[in-house]
Amino acid sequence: MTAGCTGALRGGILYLTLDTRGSSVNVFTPAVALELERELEAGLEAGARAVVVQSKKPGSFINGVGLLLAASSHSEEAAMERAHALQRCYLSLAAAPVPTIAAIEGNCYGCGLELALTCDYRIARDSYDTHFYMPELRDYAFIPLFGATQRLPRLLGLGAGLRLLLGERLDARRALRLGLIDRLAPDLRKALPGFLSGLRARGWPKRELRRPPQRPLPRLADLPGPERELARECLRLSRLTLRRGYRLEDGLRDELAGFWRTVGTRDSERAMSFFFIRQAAKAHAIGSALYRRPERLKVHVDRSLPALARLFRLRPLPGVQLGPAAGADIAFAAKKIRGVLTCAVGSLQPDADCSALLPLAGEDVPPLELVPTNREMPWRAGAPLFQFLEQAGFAPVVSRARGRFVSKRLLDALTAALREAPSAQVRSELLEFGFRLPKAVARRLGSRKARRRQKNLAGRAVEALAREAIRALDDGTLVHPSQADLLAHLLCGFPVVRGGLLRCAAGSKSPIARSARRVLGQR
Amino acid sequence: MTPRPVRVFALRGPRGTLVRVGQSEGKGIERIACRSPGLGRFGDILAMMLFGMSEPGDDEPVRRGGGEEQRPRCPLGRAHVCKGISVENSLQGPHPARVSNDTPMTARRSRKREPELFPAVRAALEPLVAKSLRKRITPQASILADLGLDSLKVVELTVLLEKELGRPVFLPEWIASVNDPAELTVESLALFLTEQK
Repeated sequence: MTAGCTGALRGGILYLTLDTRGSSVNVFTPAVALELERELEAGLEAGARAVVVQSKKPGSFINGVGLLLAASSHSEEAAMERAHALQRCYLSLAAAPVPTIAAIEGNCYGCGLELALTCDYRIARDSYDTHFYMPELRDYAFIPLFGATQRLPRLLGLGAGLRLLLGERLDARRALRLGLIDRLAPDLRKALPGFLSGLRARGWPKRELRRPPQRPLPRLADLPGPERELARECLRLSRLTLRRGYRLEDGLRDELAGFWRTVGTRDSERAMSFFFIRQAAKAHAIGSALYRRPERLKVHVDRSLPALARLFRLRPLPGVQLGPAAGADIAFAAKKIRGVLTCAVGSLQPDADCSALLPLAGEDVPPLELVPTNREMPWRAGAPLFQFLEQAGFAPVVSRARGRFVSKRLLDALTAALREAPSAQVRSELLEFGFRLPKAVARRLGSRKARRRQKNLAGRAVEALAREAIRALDDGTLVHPSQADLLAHLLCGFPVVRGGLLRCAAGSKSPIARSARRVLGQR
Repeated sequence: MTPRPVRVFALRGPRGTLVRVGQSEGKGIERIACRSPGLGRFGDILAMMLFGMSEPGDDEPVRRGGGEEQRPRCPLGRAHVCKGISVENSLQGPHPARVSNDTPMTARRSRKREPELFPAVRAALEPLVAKSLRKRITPQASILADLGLDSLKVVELTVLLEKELGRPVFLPEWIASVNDPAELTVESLALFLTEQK
């Protein structure tokens, strides 16, 4: 039985297929890396002319290297041993004497993107769940360790490479425009033979790196306070590639040292713990944290919701068809459509199957609060809707709101707590604390007329949000603390390096600390 | 049974104190991280290691070099437990808890008892582990290597444990408390949950 990588030589092409055993997504563990390395070596010895790395999991190329491994590695010796085992696999793939192609379908995150970067060519499926994202810095507060800081700037240029390292999320179409991928196709199985024929006609060339277009560097001062130091380190590592006499091996060694300096910090531990908060909120919402892509889904969007219809059109998913209400599986409408799982957007509608609020439609990952009418939790009947929204790039959260959506309650609480302070002070202090405020929320906060500076605005923001979240937990509107933490993060950009709103409040000296500890079940 | 000489090395780093029990510095037979700088916790962990992973203060007997029976009731620093243990600091000068003795201590692992919450942990693990692997759910099983759980399944485990125990459970603290992924065992999880009670 394999851990998650098999190899097959067909027509002179070595196909390395990733399929992590027992997981709904591909996880690139040391065991999988070892298998890939062995299969690659065997395939090359058998005379492979090209290597294709592909995934068997629908919707996931590679999601990560195993957060459990990263979060529990505190012994430098053991962690480095593990990192070197993985790095060896990346280096073997990069050093293959024949062209290597990553065929990407689904999430291509972190070390998965780094694996794709070691390949000469990348082709991707044209679907919204083909996403490219480096979560290391933004979500886990450490430096990537498998070559992203060295390979991205050389492929995309310093500006675009750094943006990606800082957590910019790219869909497949944008990735093509930037030059991260070489070809986009609606169906990889059909596109791959053509791509390989092209390579064969050119004599199986390896890729030659060209000088990438230079785009402006992101302003590091605009980043939330806790991310700035990491961003500077990423920039320093990226700039190594511009030095005269640069050697990739030296850059990779420097990057690994940077990873080790940043991975064991309190910030990174808290940030990694937020992954579990996010997934626990999902598990409490629909009964499972696993990733499942519906095979086929017909979705109807009412004419009264043009903004939502536009978002869905921009975010195509394989197997999902937008169309009329008749025969649809899911409908977004104002009123219940008989025989269809209907989601009423904008207000709480008792006759629909669920109601939804989309308070920040302009965000890259817009949060969307879903309220099932039958109040069932977990809401298993709503799982297809939840998974569809998640894969279409929304951040769904399920609540049992009555009268008012919890999202609205939290946003109002934050606004009320900060309305007496000068808006510039609010923005700068919250940014320094780590809040990544959505633009629409930043506009609402503080007052332009207020001149008197106020003290501890970040503390007041945390307290106001936590107070409202605890109220929602106490009145049963939210069923689990993770949902409150996730809502605060999605709506107000609450920093992951603080480890979740309620834990942050519980550890503070504010009057709300005791209540926060109570809802968290802490002594 | 031939008694096995044991030396304890305390390595203090930015993330707490790393304790190694072994015959030489590089080859520990047991490794465990003490995250709290306080000696009490350090002593607890040390006692747990030496006395068969049982809770400090448990009634498990311990055989020492001279064949003497001793109950591990005290934290590190109290002579009757620490006598014979060599605690050395390899990184930053003498460890505050330095206790040395010319006679190396030998500890025999007593027969292990199942942790108090092991049945609850096993009940929560069963639906998440493949049928063929279920018989591997023992206290010593590693949730990664033996049971094949990934981070998403650990989230599901959290939800199931919350149902079993009827209280919120936050496993990232457990995950961060170990020194190496191999230490994420069923037993360490049960002990963590007991501590959180």
